[in-house]
Amino acid sequence: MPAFPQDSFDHLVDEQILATFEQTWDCLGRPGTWWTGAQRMAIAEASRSAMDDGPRPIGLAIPALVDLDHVDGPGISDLALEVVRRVTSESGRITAAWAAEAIGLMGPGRYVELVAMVVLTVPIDIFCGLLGRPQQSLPEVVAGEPVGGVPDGVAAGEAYVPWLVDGWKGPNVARALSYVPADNDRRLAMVSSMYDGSEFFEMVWSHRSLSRPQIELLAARTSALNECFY
Amino acid sequence: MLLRESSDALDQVVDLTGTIGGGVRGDAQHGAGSGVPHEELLTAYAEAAHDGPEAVGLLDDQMLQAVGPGGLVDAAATVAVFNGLVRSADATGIPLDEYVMARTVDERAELGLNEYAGSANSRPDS
Repeated sequence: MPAFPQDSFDHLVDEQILATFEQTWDCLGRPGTWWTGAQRMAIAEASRSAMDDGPRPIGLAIPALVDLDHVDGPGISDLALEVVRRVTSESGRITAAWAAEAIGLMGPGRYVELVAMVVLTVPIDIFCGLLGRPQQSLPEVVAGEPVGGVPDGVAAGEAYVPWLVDGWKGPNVARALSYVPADNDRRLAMVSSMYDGSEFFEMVWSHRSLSRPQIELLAARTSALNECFY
Repeated sequence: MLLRESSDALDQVVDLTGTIGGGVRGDAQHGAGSGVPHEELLTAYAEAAHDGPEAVGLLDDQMLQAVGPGGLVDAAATVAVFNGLVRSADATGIPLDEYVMARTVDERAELGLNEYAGSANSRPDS
C-alpha cells in the first residue's frame, strides 16, 4: 500500500512528486550507508521534534558538542540529537568551526547521512502540512547493518564535508551530500520532481502550473527567510 | 539570479527587494505588484509558510482563486523543497558556485545578502 496515495491530498499532485516521496519513505527505515534503520528512524523522529520546537533562543546555553555523549547504541547519541536539532531548526547558525567539531566527533559519513535524513524528511512533512494533509507515519524499521563505504572520487574540498571532486561540473548543491550517494540520489530526485523537473537550465518552464519566475520568487523568499546565502 | 534571468526571458520586470521582505514595487503595467504575476500573494504565501501550516491555510482560498489548485501545489512544493535545500547548503558549507558569485555581485550587496550568517561558509571571497 502506498504511503502517499493521490487521494490522500485534496488537490492533484504530480505523479513524479508522489513517486519520489514513496521512494524516500521506503528507504527511511532501512539500513543506510553509515546508520542502521533504527538509527535512521531515530534521526527522522528527532528531526520532527526539532521542527515542532523551532529554533532555541539566541544566547541560550547549549552544551558543547564535545561534552555530549557521542556513543551511538541501538538509537542515536546525545551528540547526534544535538546535530539533528541544529541542522533541522537552526541551520543558519551553523559555522565552519561547529561543523568541523561535529564531523570530527561523528565522522563525515554519519554526519552527511544525518543531514540527508533531515533534508529528505523535512520537505515531505512541510509539503503535506502546507496542503493540509496529516503528517505521514514513519515506516517500520528494517533490521540489518549499514553497508559502509566511501565512494570513489570524493575528497576534502571547499565545503565542510568531503564531496565529489573528480571532474565535477554541476552546481555545488547537487554534490553537497555526495559522500552518501544513495541518499544524495534520492534527494536529487526529490528536488527534480518538486522544482526543476530536469529543466534547470531552461529559463522558461512549461511543466509547472506556475511560471519559472513565480517559482523562483517563492524559492528566493523561502531562502531569504531561512537566511540562506547559497 | 535565476529569478532575474527567468523574468528577463518572459520580458517581466522583477523587484528583487520583494525576496528579502522589502515589499513589492508597483508599476503602471501590472498594478500593485511588479512584472511577476501574483508576486505579492506568492511572497505572502512563502512568508506564511515559514510561520506554519495554520498561517498559510488562511491564504489557500486566495491562492486557489489566483493560481488554481496546480499553482497552489507548485507553491507548496517549491517552499517545501527549498526548506530542504537551505539545510543542505548550510549544513555542508558549500560555496556559492563561481558563475553565480560573479554574476550577483551587485544584487548581493544591494539586498544585504552578504550579511547573512550563512554567507561565511558560502562565499569563497569571504
